[in-house]
Amino acid sequence: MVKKEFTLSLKAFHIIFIVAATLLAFGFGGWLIYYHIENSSYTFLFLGLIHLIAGVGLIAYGKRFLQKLKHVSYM
Amino acid sequence: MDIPYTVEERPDTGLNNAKLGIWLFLASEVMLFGGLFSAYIFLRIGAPEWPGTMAGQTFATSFEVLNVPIGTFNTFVLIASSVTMVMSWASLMMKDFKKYKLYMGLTILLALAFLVVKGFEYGGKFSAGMFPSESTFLAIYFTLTGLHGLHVIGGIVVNAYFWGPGAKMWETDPDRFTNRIEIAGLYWHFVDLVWIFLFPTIYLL
Repeated sequence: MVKKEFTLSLKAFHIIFIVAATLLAFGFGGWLIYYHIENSSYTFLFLGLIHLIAGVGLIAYGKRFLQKLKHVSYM
Repeated sequence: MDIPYTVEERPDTGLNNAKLGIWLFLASEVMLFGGLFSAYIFLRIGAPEWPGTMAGQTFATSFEVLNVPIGTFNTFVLIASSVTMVMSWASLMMKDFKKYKLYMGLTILLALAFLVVKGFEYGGKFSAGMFPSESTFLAIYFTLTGLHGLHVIGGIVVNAYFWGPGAKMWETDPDRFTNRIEIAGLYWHFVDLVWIFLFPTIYLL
């Protein structure tokens, strides 16, 4: 018998996806800023800051998404 | 005869058949991509230099070979497409069919944009003489991104059907249609999640 707890609805999978995308945004942003420190490339600094802002934006989106779909099941 | 358990849950599994089916399918997909990611790791560990020499040039890092800004743009495109996909499903939950059509249409357009950009990226590599046969790095790059691209095409076909002829089901069986969009959304999120892992692994590390 397959237990319901082992499957997820689109809502739950979307949350996982947004968490992964947020981690990528912060990780890539950090990598770009590190590259700027090593090579003094201001293009990379600019892109790094954009990614950090995108990471914050994804967190805000995730919170709003959870509020909007709070009545929808995770299963 | 109606197909049973398309919306209601089966008593023995606690799930409807579509959801059980898609999760079994996604489990097999995890094994497929997992095998290729493992191949990438072992090829890289065993390589004396990475990405190495190709088209007469030696490269020290993968981001010297691949176009990181284009890859980043495509990452944003896929993240946006996941958002529009979940919005199309949420629109159906709120019984707003017009918004569903809008968001699903946007999802298809974003997926097409991803493929067009990928096509330009591939074209750039081919015109520079960088073919899969040139190096181990290029072979695994084209294999992983090519397989992912095929999954994107599969998603476009399914989503385009649900946007066009398949949308008629909304009038006859709205619950089942909403369920179908959720299943398509789960597949689409998986395809996007693969890219979220693929992009830093191949382009940056």
